[in-house]
Amino acid sequence: MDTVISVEDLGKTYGQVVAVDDVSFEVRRGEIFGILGSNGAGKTTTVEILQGLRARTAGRVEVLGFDPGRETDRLRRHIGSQLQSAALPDRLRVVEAIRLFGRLHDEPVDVNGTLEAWELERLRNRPFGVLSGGERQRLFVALALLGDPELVLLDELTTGLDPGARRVTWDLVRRVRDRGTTVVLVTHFMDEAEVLCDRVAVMSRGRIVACDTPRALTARQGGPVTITFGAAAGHDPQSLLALPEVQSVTVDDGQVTVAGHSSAAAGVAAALAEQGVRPDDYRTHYPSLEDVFLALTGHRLSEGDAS
Amino acid sequence: MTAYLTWTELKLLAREPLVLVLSLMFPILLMVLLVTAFRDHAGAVFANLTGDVFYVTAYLGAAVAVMGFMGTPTHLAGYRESGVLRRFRAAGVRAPALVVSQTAVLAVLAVVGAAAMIVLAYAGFDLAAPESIGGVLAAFAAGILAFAGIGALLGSVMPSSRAAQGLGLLLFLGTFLLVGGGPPPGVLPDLVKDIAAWTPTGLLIDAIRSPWAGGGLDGPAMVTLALVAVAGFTFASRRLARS
Repeated sequence: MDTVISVEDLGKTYGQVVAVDDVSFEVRRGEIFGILGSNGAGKTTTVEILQGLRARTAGRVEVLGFDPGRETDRLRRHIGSQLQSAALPDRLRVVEAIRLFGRLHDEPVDVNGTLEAWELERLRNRPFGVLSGGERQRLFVALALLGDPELVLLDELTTGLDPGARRVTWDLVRRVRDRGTTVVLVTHFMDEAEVLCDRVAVMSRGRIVACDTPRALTARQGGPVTITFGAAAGHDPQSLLALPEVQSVTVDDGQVTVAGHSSAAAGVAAALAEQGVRPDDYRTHYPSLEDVFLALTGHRLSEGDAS
Repeated sequence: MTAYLTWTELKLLAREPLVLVLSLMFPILLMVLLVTAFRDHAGAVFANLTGDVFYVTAYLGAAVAVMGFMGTPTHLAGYRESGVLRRFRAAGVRAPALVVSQTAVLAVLAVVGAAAMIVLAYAGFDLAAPESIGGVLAAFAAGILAFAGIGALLGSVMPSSRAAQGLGLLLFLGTFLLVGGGPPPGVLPDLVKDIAAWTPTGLLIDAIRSPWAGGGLDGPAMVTLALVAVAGFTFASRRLARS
């Protein structure tokens, strides 16, 4: 598979402060690659270096075959970018923004087609200053995709959006990938990374602590599957320990908790059915990226990372 | 791109007529007040000009200086603060395009302000025409370029629009009041006069007055304004490309 971004031993320091430390990863063509971490983990600095907005202090970076530090202008023609906390002039209208940014590309941009594709037709003459958070993000995604870039970098795309607008934005990101564009998605939302990303790099304190598919990360680092159900009269839950995939069984206040490998959920259900026990509150909890994050970094994503 | 960005900036300006009116109203009103009060005065204290020419030329310079010291820096610093500059930079808008578009905005505002002043001065006070219209226009153009350079440079280093506005007010009033905006410089101590004459505001007003009064182009002032323009454009473009 062809590599779009290759980062080796990347470092960035501001005086004594180390923002990015010895970071290496690769992004493959056509994937949605997530960079997940809490505030201050070094995610934004990393993507800003990838697009030549910041100079690195160490390491080697290649984006679409260009060095972002030296070939910034040539690189920018091939990438689209949505930045964290960026804006447009308040009085600039949606259609004017598309025309203005369209001028930066060699090929003429289909302004009406872009408005239609991103459902901005209705907002055509609306000034940027009055757009809602979701509408702004839609416009930013549309602008990032003008001129059909091979790669787009989306930084905290859904921060500040309500749950409905976030889901709509996720669909936008999938549509971008479906066009064949490689996406780098920076986020501090666990569910976003889990739902959208083909692969995720988990960042903490300037370093990448794990990088894999969400499924592989949760299988490897997320801890056991847990199953809970109400204890039934005359049934000995400890008998479930005979199943090879079960690691532990605890009973607390009439509630049975079974922990085990990922296949334990099916195994325990089958064993209970065989023993004639059919609890109506049988629940399984698979490890999530949140559990992976906690295991890898020692803190929850929402707790922040600024050190 | 540069032309389209400039066109877009001018459209945005036209959508904020209040900015235009408010930034030009103050110098225009002061000019009318001072010309009314001193039109019959003349002599060494008014740089050997009549009171009306002294103040009209001073305020023509002010129309440019107020934009360069306050308008452009506040606008650009506001762009930095809100993230517009980052957005432009990431999309590949080049810094010189940004500086050129801001220069065009400044030029439009300065020309509108100057035109209003000239019309008022001719219609209301029967002001005599300048000896060399071409010379005055050249000086005015050099002033626009110099102050666009200063404005872009200040805008490229100021962290916020409030900071830019504060510093701009200080620079504008600090220079303009000493070179003819307030008391005639003739009554000020020599040292203050000499320093004030070499501020960009002082140079611009001298450059306008000399051809107006028949003294031809003020070579040193014109050259210095051109150098200020080049330095301002160069440093502002470098700074905007990185910030």
